[in-house]
Amino acid sequence: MFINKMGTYHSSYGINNQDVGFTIEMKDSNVNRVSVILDGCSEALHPDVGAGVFALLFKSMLQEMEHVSFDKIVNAAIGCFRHVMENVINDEFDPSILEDYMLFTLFILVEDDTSWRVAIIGDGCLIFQGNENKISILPINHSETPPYMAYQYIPTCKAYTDEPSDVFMSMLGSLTFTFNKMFYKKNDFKAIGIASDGLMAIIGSNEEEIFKQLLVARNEAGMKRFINKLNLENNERGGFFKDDVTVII
Amino acid sequence: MQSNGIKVDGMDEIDAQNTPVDDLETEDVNLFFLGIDQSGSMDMFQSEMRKALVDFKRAIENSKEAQKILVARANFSTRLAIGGYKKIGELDVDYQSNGMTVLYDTIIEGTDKLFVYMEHLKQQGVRVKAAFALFSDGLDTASNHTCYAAKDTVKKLNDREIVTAFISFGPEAMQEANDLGFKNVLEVGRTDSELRRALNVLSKSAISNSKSVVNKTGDFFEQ
Repeated sequence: MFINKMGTYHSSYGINNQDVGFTIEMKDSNVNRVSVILDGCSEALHPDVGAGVFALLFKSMLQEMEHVSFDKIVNAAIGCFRHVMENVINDEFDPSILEDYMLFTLFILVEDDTSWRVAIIGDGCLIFQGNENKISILPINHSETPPYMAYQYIPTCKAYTDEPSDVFMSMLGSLTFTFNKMFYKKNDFKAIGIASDGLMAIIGSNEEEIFKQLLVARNEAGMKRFINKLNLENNERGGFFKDDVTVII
Repeated sequence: MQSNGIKVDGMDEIDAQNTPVDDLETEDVNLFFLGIDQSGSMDMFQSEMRKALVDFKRAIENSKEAQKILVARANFSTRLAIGGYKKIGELDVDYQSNGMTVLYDTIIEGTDKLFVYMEHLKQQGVRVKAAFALFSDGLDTASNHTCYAAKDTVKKLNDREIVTAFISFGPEAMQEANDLGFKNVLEVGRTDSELRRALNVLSKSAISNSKSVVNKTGDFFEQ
């Protein structure tokens, strides 16, 4: 089930949907499936562009990989990000390009025969479907300032934590990215999904139970209509899902 | 009762007449109103029309857009029978001609039903596009409504950016279609092969309009 809907704040103000996501079935591999969500920074100009480029490259890398493991996939994501950055950064490089185009979170869910493994830089939500079909939504790293990977390349950025450097090219390949990693056994859950932080709007609302029912039913079209309907009904207060929302389960 | 557990008064009847929202397999649909002239002047084309309708149905069924297209067939002669918006597999391909032509009534009552279902779908979060197409070989001869009222209705369709399309089977209905304000008017010859071509154009146009992000209000016909 794949949902990707533009938030009402974005549609009202003519800002692109900045969530990007995909799922890929891995063939001839120890891993069954990889799902990825990238959530662009709302305040940035066009993070959807950087996220889209990254997603395309990362997906094509995954398609080519054989005998993969969770760690190899995470490393491939880092390698993919560095590859994108190497093509953006040069001697006359303007760091504002990164702030405009490359600020996005990275949320990876890897499923094999016995487990789900999660790696995340930034925020989002984990969705758990228990063996009794009970759905729980768990916010991860919820924060107004996610540690976007591109911050590592922007010395002037307030969120930049390393020593500033004037020589950007020399930094490539040496930076470290800190992922939060989680591991869940298949015996403990019927399914696990991931979502962008736009899903936070449903938590604790009167509509949460209906949302969960649609999730359990894997009613993708019904879920999309439900989101549209909620936004329409809450039009006077600017919609229900103001931020973009992506759900993969 | 909707799948989301919300009960909405008066909506069960709309769902019963048309395709219930819960039966839709997509979040967006393209409604296609197909009004077909069944007046006596079409007698000699009955067999060909049945074949053309079979082809029309098959073309949409075999397209990638099939899940998104709901067709309401309206048969008009002396009487008017407007069906609900149904999945293409449910389209009736029978054809019997007889009697006069209630063209204006078809436009007005067909539009009313279209607007009701459109609004119903929108309230349920469905994204809706619509096309209103008529196939006729002649002038109105028996409507209860006036030409003025029909013209006003076509304007309402156009104002809501719903595709308005008219296929004139022979030259007689051309002027009427233009006077009524249809934005897409196509004249085809009054022959078997042209009839087949007309329905072929309609199926291709319905599919193409469904693929389009916005309604092809001014360039609907795909020939």
